[in-house]
Amino acid sequence: MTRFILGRVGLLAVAWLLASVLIFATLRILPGDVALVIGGSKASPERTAQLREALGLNQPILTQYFEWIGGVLRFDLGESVLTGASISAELIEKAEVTVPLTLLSLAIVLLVALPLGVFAAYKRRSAVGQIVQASSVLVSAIPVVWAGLLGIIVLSTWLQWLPSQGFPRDGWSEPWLAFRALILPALTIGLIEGAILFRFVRSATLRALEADHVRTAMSQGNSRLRALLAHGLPGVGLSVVSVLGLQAAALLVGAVVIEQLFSLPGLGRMLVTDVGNRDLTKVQSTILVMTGIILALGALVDVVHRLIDPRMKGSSEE
Amino acid sequence: MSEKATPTYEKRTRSKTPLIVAIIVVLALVVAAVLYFTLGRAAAPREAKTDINIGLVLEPTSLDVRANAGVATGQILIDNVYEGLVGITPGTVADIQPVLATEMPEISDDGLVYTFTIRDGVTFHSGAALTVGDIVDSLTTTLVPDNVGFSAAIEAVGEQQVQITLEQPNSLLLWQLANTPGLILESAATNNLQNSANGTGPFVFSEWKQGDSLTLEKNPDYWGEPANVETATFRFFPEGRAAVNALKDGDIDVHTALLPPLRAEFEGNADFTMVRAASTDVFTLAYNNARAPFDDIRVRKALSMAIDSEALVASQSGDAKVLGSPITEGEPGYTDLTQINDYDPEAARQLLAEAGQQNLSLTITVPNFYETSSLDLITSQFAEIGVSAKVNPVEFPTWLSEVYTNHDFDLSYVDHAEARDFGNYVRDGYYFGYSNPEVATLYAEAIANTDPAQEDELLQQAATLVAEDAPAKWLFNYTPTNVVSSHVSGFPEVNTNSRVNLAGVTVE
Repeated sequence: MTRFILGRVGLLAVAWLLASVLIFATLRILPGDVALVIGGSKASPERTAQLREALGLNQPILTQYFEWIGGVLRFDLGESVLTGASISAELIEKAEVTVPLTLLSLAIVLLVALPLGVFAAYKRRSAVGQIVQASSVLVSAIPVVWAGLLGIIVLSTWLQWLPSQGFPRDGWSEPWLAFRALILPALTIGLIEGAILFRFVRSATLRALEADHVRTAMSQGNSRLRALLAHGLPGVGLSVVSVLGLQAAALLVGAVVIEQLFSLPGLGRMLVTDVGNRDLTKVQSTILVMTGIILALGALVDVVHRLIDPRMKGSSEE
Repeated sequence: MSEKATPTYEKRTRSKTPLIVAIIVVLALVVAAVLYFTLGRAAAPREAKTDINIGLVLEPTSLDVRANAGVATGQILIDNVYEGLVGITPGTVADIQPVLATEMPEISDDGLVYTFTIRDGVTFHSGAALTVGDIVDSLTTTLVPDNVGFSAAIEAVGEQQVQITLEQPNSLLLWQLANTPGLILESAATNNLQNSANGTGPFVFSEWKQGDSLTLEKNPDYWGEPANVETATFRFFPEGRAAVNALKDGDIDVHTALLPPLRAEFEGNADFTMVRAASTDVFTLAYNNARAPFDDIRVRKALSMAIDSEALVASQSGDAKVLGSPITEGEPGYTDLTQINDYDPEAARQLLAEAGQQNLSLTITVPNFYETSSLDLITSQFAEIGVSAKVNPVEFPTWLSEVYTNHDFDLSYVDHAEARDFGNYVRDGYYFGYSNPEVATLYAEAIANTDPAQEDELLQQAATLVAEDAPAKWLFNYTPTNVVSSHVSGFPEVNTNSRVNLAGVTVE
């Protein structure tokens, strides 16, 4: 087990470093740079050239990369080129919006996918089961932005049940207001991602219903439902855990997209602005931190999966 | 697997009650939560306020006001936090009044020497007193050719006066002094200009929460008439829809530059007034004059004549005025030139035929933050004269790189927001690629003229020549709608895209 964990952590480190190279290189492809943004539509070419020199944009690409990643490895994410503010401080501030949003979405994903998935599998031949299954295909195909707009129109503008904006400026010192502003965005992401997880749950449950041990349980006089709940679901839970690692990434990406729409001052909105300003140090540090979190989650899920699944015990080290 | 025990065939009966109870509890919680939020919302009464929340579309990229990174920095900080010797008179586009100077400067007869007398008892927000040294330092940094297009020598005369000496008369000096280049900063200050601000204005910079808001507090030690509001918070709404909801929820009191299609949201709503702010914003469809086939004046004229400006104004829900030249009403040199190269698709087709360009296809490069209804209209109007146009939305830095710097474009669509920017049409290496020596001469004469009437006349002549050359189509003068809540009065109604002067604003 220790060897497995060590191997997994090593893999994580390699993947993370590779990601840093990719992130850095991809951002350099973008046309335009921060010197142009600072100069705006008035600066002369000479002034822009001076800015470029002063900001270190003329240094060789490799030097720029190693300076950045060297800093990151010493836990120094650097400073914003435009505002001079510490990137890590801002990341922490914005995470206060994005992390709760992601967790709330995750809760909704689980609330939607688990009961409905099991239900649709159990009732797969009934009309209700079919309808649930069909709607999940429909919902999971909706782009997040579009769903968000729809949510705003219906739940916010027409019914006026939920606010479509208004995360308080003081953040969580006004917990109710803050929570309220997160509900509609979390519902949007949660329903769509939930519809995707739903299909995993349903097929896993279908497999469980046909599994030998569940059939055995039924032959012992358990009802089909009880056999499924008591003997089939543990297996379903395991497959859900392994999918959740992937889903965490999707939730985070969903948050990035949705924040702009609901004017939430989180990581996503910050990223969109920073890319638009070509504040590349900030963008790459932010993305690298997010990549790290997702990779770590993936590794964690692998380890947890191994720990709780008795079938994995004794299987060969991967 | 673990089901190897002997079968017992015993049917277990477990009560379903806990499950049902659990479901009911969860449902009740959800309903309670929804009710709480909806009722809580409706019950919040509005108290008398001393603070104002203002919605802006764009957020500053940096607070370094002199670096000029985008309009939002100046919108918030000029007049409110930073001041110059002179400023723009509230309610006008380009009239100039003394601010940190006690009166308008004495100008020598040859128009070369400007002498300003400095106001007494002015302090920076840091507490330091304003000195002539601060003024000399600030202006020496900014009044350089690279920044303002001319050079000037600035020196202190005693403790109370500053003298600016020009090499040749320049009518733009006062204009520059009333804008970003004229702002006075404290020489000894050590604050980080990128994320803080220290000026002499009626408001003190308090906090900038990036991606959310920027807050100013009333300056209790202001040298002039103190502000009426205690706190002014600017909040940023890149999504127009969110701004509308924030207004209706009472989270903001004013929103500047409402997207034209959203006007309908407030039509007939007594809680808000919609004010069209006069502005100097010119939405400009620039032709790459240096590149074939746009180096052919017939092609440029044809493109200009293809566009029906009245229809464009309608596409902006009326938030615009038809314009025939780059100079807007209220700026020196304005004259109605809408008849030149006016809408005439028949003549446009003929011109294209003469130029041998019947099957022209071109690309319009446009920064992606603009609303595109006008572009849809333009492409369909181009189609009427047989020109196929493709719209290429790009990020602003890409526009700056491809269009502004490398001149790699056919047509470009941007808002030229600055007042008195006619000089762009005589600027070497500007992205229009346009040059007309006659215009350059007229313009030079105009700005070297110390008599405003003559300057105006010369600029009109220059503008007429430019309009005839059709280096660009001046689509419309954008007059953005500001939505102002009924409990706010005195909100500025002019040029709020460049500066939002909160001096006279009161909130009930």
